Amino acid sequence: MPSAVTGDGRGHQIRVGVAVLAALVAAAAATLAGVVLDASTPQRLTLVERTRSPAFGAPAPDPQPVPTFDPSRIRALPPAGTGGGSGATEATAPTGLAIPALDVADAPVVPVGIEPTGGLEIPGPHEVGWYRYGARPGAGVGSIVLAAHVAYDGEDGVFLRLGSLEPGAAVVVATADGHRLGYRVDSVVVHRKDDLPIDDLFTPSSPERLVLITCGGTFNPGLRHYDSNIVVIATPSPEAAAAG
Amino acid sequence: MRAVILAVVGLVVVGLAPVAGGVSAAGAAPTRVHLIQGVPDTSVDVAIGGRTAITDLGFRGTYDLSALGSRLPAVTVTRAGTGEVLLAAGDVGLPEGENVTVVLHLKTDGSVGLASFANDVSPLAAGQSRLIVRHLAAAPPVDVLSAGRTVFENLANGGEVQADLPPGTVSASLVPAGTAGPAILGPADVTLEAGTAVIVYGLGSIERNTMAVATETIPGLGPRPTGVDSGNSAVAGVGGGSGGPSPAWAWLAPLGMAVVVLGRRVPLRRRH
Repeated sequence: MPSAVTGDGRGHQIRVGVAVLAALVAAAAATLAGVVLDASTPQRLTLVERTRSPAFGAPAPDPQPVPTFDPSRIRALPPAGTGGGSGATEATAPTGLAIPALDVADAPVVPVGIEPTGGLEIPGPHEVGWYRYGARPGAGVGSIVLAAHVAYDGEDGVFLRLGSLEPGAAVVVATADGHRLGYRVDSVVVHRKDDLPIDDLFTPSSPERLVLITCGGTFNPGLRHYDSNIVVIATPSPEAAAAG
Repeated sequence: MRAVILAVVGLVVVGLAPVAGGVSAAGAAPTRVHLIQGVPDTSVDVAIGGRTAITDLGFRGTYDLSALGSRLPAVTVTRAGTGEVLLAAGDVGLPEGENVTVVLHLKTDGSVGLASFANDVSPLAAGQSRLIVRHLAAAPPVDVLSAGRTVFENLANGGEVQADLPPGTVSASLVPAGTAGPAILGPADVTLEAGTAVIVYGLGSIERNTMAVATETIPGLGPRPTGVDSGNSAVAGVGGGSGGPSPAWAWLAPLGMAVVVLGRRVPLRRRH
């Protein structure tokens, strides 16, 4: 489960607190409804659902909401091709990354793949790795995954302070053909490494977005290993390009 | 429909899906929905929900409908600029799956139809690509030939077949099912890239002599990593949700580093 990064780094504890509170509220609501709360989780979930019934004044959800159509929400794409190929060339690969709020200025971006061990390949501490079999900037669709070290062999990594980014911060990607594409941060989330939603983060089916990943959480110096990943999601924002 | 599994230039048939619109992948509402105009020699206007949504969309023209969710309300397709209704599709429900393509096409009888497919965007093995072939033409069932051999058999209008293959250029032809030709479409060269799916649509009409190919490419299907290990040394006060190393560990970090450095003369291996 993700938790929002907080200033004092207590996202996990806060989340647990909220969960406990929610359980208590649910239990109280179920009791108020005149139902005896059973200890088993499935039944408890059922009872919580009951408290949302019209008896409490909440309207029943419309099973078939009438959709409204706004033509501005659809857009033309390049026409279908005739011979396959993605049109991807070296020119559309990202080559540089700037995050002004972190004083990251045009850090070199290099294409990376997957290590024989199965992990994402991460370049040296002064470079950012772009997952070469993911999406490309400017394509309008998919996840552009960029990963870099927080610290490596005692050297600060490019993503040293990624966890301190805040929503709205500008991120600028430079491509080999000289374009500078702007993005704005939507979210900054800490995931435990054993709970990293890799399929979600790498999906080819999202609208275009940057997925910036580094390490965070607690560092175990014996294992030289962080227990969590920090994940920043940023979405296209043309005016943000001017920031970098 | 069946796929003939043949060891043709390393082709491995990994699966096939039976009918348009009936394909179901994991997940709920699609997050990526593209519309392709697959009727040759025709331009269309498309109304959605009673409002003009797209005008003058020519053959192979493509639109992003991702924002509309899992259902396209009241779809009407007219010949561009004329108001002649080619298809009054009503509400179009989309198949489950994160990645969907809707294709305006000709049915076997030559009338205009709308077919929806959930695209298989599951991760590919390292270095592999995915070829998907869909028959959406006013034509009888076909076999798919490559390099003179049948690689898919008896593909009917609305159906699709697929295989994961090494990257490269594949030359494919469609012939009437059970025959050796002549081809009703192709041969067409299709370029396959690692980590990418190419969907080849057989479109048009035999009777009107408008058979044609359109291809749709979905990149970003490379293998998923098992994790992201992007740090092997401590940072002070920053670096994560717990604010970097906990105080109990913090004093050990420089010591641990020194021990490692002194104890190993070889360059440090990247640890994860």
